[in-house]
Amino acid sequence: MSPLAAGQPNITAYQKDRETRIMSILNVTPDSFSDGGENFNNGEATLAKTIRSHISAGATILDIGGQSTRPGAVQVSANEELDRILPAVDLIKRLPEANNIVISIDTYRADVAEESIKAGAHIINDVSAGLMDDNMLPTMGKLGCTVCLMHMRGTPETMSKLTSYPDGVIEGVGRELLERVRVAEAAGVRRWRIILDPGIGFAKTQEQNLELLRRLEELVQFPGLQGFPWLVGTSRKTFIGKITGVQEAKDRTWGTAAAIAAAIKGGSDIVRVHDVAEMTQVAKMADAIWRIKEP
Amino acid sequence: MGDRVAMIEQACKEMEASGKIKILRTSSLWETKAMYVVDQDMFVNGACEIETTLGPMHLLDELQAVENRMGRVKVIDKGPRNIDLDILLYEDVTMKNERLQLPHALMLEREFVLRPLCECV
Repeated sequence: MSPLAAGQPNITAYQKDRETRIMSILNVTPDSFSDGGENFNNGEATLAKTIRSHISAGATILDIGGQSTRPGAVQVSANEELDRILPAVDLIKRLPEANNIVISIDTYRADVAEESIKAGAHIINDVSAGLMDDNMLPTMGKLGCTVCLMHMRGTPETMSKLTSYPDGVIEGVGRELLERVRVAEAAGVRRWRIILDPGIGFAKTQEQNLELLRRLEELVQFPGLQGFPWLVGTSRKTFIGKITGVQEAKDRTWGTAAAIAAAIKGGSDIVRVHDVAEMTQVAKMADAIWRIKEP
Repeated sequence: MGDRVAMIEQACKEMEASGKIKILRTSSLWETKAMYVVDQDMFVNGACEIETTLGPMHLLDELQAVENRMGRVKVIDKGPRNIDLDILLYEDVTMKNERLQLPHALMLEREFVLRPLCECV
């Protein structure tokens, strides 16, 4: 069982009839791949409206990103990243509707993580699982918060070329994630504070992304990784656009829906989404089909 | 019994506070129904691997000191309590006295001990 934030229901990955949690993506960047900066510099009222709509549509976790990690994205300074994130954290803390909402911070930087948790965020979601900042895992250990460790290789600039998995993508991702778990544990991160993410779209080809979704159950049962909760993010990603022939990221809702259903069947505890209302319905339906008590 | 995970995390901090115990790895946390007195909240169980300069009896003293510092409340035997720290294994030591038995006497009988323990090997 994994706590998200004090007072919030814990994630119980071992419970067959658990409810899938909806993590909504709240980009406060001018250059996100899929929402093109709609929350950036648009003022507090607009951001508050977005947050309220995510919550009323079913999100229980808000994932705030102050810097895009889309392939090839230009990286900004830590100060710039914090200047984007902290006002959003502060705003969520002041919204009565967001009282029971878990605040997650999408960052690979230790100092951004630390300042955000001090400001009242609950979770650090690091796409590099500590690989892009040597201080990240020790900082996570010190903060004692829940963390998401995602599988990727290289950096957002280089990852699209790092797709060789000689023993197969399940074996490769499982082994590399297990290594990150070991380093995190040694840095003082408690096992029950770790959520794993296969990193769909990061250092993977289209076929590898599809295989991860198709065989997610095997990854969830990978020796040494049993018992962890899983977060899966497929929302509006490039491979969905290619397969469905939808150029505009924001129009990839239907393809995303199928991918979310597959992720839930595969054992994902949390799904990270842009289209909160639609994917909440998909998750409810998928839960009704697959998340049932053992007979 | 309040926030059960917070109790466990506090116990980890208390164990390390003296500098005599270092936690190397932890298991996941598992929720289990109370085995003996069933009319109570679910228990949360976990195991950890530690490094220590203390021998088995001194380690037991230290763990009991942590339990006491955390104000362990035990109203009825095997009933609800805020924290319960046991030694399951101490290297290959086999011993038995009125305070301590190693390996832990009921280790193999209890799934909620075995499952977290297996994650630490």
